[in-house]
Amino acid sequence: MPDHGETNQTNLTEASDAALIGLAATGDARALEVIYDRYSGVVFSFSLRLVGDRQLAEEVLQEVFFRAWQQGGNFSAQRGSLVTWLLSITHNLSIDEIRKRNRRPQKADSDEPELLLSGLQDQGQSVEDEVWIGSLRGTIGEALRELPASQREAIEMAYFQGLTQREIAEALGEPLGTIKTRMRLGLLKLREALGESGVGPS
Amino acid sequence: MSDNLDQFHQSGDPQGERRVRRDAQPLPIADAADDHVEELVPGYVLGALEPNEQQLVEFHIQFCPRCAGLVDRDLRTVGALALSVPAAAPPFDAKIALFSRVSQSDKARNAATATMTTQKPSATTEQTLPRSTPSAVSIGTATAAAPVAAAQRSGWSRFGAFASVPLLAALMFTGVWGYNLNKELQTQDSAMSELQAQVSNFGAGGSTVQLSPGRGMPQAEGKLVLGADERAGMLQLDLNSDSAAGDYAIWVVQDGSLVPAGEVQVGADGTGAAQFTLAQPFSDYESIRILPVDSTGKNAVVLTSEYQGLGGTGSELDALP
Repeated sequence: MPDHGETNQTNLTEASDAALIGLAATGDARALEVIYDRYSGVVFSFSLRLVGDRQLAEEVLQEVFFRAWQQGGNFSAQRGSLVTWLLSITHNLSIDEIRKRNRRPQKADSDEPELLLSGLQDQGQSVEDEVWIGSLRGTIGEALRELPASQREAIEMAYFQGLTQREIAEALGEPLGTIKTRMRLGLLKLREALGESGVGPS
Repeated sequence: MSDNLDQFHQSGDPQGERRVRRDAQPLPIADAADDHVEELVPGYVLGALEPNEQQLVEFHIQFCPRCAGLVDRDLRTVGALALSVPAAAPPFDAKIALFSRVSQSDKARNAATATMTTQKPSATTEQTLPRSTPSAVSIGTATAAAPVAAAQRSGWSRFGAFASVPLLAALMFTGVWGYNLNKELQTQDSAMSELQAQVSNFGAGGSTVQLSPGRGMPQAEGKLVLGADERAGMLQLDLNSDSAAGDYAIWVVQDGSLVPAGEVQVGADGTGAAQFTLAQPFSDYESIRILPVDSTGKNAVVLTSEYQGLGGTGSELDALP
């Protein structure tokens, strides 16, 4: 195979997320490929965690990156990292699929947040990203463990199972205001634990 | 999935698709513009609001930097929750399916059209091409557009427009720079032609060839996706081994001889993908073999098409030429 362009591709693999999505927005599929290689693992993992079905998670994975390809011009690095943006799309699509198909994630790993954090290796990411995500996983794991169980439960039922506050209140037999308070306090504690830096590997 | 899942970066809306969904109720517009919605932000970023509440937040944050900032801040927090999920490898076919779709998108077609119309109108226009050439491992259609788009973003197009033909001719014929530039342009021209061939052929009624594992890697899996003319294709493989990382050569067999067709890099997870082009249609060759770059022996073959039609599982390799 001719090796022309290898240097160019190497440069792309070292480019920032913001630069890559900018290139993808102009129609550069190589840039999208680098983005895919960086984040397809976390997108797929997250979607799989939400929908609990590999086929459905694959559909979401493809849709997320296709939308990044089509709508990359909407991304603004000032408002958050690329991975946050991709995961936000992933969450929207996955939760919508859950609700549309009236499907719930597998029970196996939805009750124990610690299981979310156990040590499978990430795929297709740079060493720096793996280290960063590994570190973050440890931090968020500790933060989750320190949350009161009721707050953790409310957050997980909403974020990972796609339930609305009202549905959570009904499921738990608690007043709606109580659920809202648990979510607010739980997020506040998580935010404090993670620091204001939030997420953003690049 | 609807098309209007634009992102929170555009409108402050992380919930995108949900905003026009289901039983949306009329909004109290005046209140939405005047009152802050910070009480709703946690439920909003967690996707746990009712549709009318979501619409209220989405309307409000278009005009309220304060609440939009709260949304951005909490989105980063829930993004960390998403990243805490243990990793699972994406399916083997996911990448090729995505990029096949990308290559057929209107955006890619438009980019390809731009490439076709700007490739060779004049010598000065050719100067607008960037120095780098497209990557051989990238995906066809949109790849071809990238150099043109990059050139249009750069100042080279203006240079090309204003540079005089005599000046360029003098440079071209009076020195090493001119020689090198001419050579580079020829290389780029060739690469562009190659990519345009891929643009026109890849993903337009192509075919798939499943590969069988060879002796060198009995657990390997792989396949070729070929364009309509069988000259351009993509190889995807999964060696199902975490100790097989490295460079592998792609060979096609013609008249019993191995003809190099490219290389594929296998990562630490045992997977790899590469696009390749062939001088002749794939069906004109006898087979394809994937081997470590430093080997050509039958025992080192990790994947091959040579068992097709033989019904075998690997032991027949010795019977082949």
